[in-house]
Amino acid sequence: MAREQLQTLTEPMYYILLALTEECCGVDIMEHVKALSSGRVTVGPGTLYAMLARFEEKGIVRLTASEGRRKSYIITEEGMAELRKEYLRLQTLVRDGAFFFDK
Amino acid sequence: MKPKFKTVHRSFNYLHCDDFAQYLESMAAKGWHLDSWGAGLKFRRGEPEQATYAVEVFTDASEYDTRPELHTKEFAEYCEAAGWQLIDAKRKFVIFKKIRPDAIPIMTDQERLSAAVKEDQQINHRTLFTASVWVVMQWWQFLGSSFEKIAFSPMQLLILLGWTALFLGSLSSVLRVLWLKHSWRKRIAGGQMLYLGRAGGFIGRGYELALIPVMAVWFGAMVFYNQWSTIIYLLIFLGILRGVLFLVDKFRPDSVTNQIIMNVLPIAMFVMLFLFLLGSMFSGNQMEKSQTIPDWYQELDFVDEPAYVHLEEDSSIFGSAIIVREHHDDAPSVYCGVFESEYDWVIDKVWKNRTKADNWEPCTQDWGGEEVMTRFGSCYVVRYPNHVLYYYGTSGEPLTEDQISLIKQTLIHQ
Repeated sequence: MAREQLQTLTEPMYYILLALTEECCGVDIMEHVKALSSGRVTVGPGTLYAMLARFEEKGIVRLTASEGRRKSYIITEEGMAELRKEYLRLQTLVRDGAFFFDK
Repeated sequence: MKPKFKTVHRSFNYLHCDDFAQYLESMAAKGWHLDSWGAGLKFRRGEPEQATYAVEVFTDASEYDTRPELHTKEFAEYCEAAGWQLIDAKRKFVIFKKIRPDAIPIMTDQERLSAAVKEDQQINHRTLFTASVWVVMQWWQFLGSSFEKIAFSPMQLLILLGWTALFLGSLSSVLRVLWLKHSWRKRIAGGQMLYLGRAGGFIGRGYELALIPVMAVWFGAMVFYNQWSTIIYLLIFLGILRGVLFLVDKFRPDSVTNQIIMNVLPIAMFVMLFLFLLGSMFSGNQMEKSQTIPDWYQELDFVDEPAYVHLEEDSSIFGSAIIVREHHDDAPSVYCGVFESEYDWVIDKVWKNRTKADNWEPCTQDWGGEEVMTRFGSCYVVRYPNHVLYYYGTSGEPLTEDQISLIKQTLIHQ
C-alpha cells in the first residue's frame, strides 16, 4: 500500500520515534523523550496523542498492545527507514557545519 | 447553612476556551470548584484556591458527546501523566485541572489555535451554508415573481432582513476567524503567547450578534401586528427545544443516543410546523364574508355566497397591498388586488411581474389608467401613476362598463 511519506521530522517527532525503537506504552513516551534528550525536549500530551494517531495512520508505528485505555506502540520498518533518513540528514547538516565551525 | 453546590449556565465558543479556563480559575479563587458540566456548570463549595485550568478543544471528540467518551478518556490518560486531571468534557471541550506544578502544556499554541479555529469554523461554515441557501432563495423571490408578496409585507421583509443579517454575520465570522488565524500564526512565530478569548481578539460569532436586534424587531413586529398564533407557536417550539436540550444536558446520554435525538428533533419540529401551517390554512381562510370583509369590498359583490373569501391587507415602507380572493364551488372565482406605492420602481416591478406572462394584449375598455392589458376575456392589469390594479376572473366574460367603474372607484379611491 502506497503511503504518503513524512516530510522532514520535527524535533518532537524525531524523539518520539527514537523512544519507540523499543515497545513503549503511549503515556510513558513523554518521560522517555525527556530522558533521551536529557530534559531538553518536552512533548505535550496533546501533541503526543495527535502524533501517535498520525504515525499509526501512516504506518510509521504500530499498535502492539491495548489494555483498556492504555496502548503500547513500536516503530515499524517503514518508520525505522524514516528515522534513519532523518538521522543521516542531520549528520549531513552537522558535517557541513563542521567545515565552518571546527576549523 | 450555606449551599454546597451551585449551577451556573454559561456557554463558550471553541475560540473562547481561554476565557472559559479563566472563568473557572476566578470561580476557584472564590471557593467554587468545578464538579461537573451537565445542565450548566456545577460548582462545589470549598476553600479558595489559585487553581490552574486548561480547557482544550479535542478534535477527535464528537459534537454529540455529552460526557467524556472513550477517545476523550484515552486522551485524558496522556494528560494525567503530564500533570493534568480530567474534570469533565462535553462536545469537543475537555476541561483539565493542573495537579502537578511541573505539568507541561497539553498542546503547543500552534496546535491549540488550529484545533479551535477548525472546530469553530465548522460551525460558522454550516451556518453560512444554511444562511446562503435561504438568503439566495429569499432574494430570488424578492427580485422575482414574489416581489409583491414580500415588498408589501413587513413580516416578510423582516424575514428577508433576518436571513440577510444571518448571512452577512456568518460571512463576517468566517472571514474574521481566517484573518485572526493568520495574524495569530505570525504572532506565535514572533514569540507571543496565544490567548483564545475576547482579549485575544476572538469576539462572538457575527451572526449571533446580528440576529439579536433582528429577532427583537421581528418579535416586536409580531406583537404589533397581532400575530399571536405565530408567537404562541414559536414559544411552544422554543420551549420544546429548550426542554429537550435541558434533558440531554441533565441525563447526558451517550454520543450515539444524543446524535439520534438531535437528528429526530428537527424532523419532529418540521412536522409540528407543517401541522401548524395546515391548521392555520384551514382556520384562517374560511372566513364569512359579512364578518371579515370591509364594507367597501362588499359593495363590489363579485360573487353571491362565496365558499370562502380571503382578504389580505398589508403595508410596508414600499407601499400597501390589498388582495382579495373569492372562491365559489359552482360559480366563477375572482382574484383581485391593488398595489399602491409612491416609488416608480415598485410600480414598474409590480407591473412587469403582472404582465410578464404570455397572451396579454392592450385593452380597449376604459379603466382610466396609463396602461391596461387584458387576456382570456376576464383578466385585467391596469397601471395608474401610483397604483397597479389587477383583476383575474375565471368566468372568461369581459367586465361591463359599470363593473369596471365600480372596481376602479372602490379599489383605487376607497
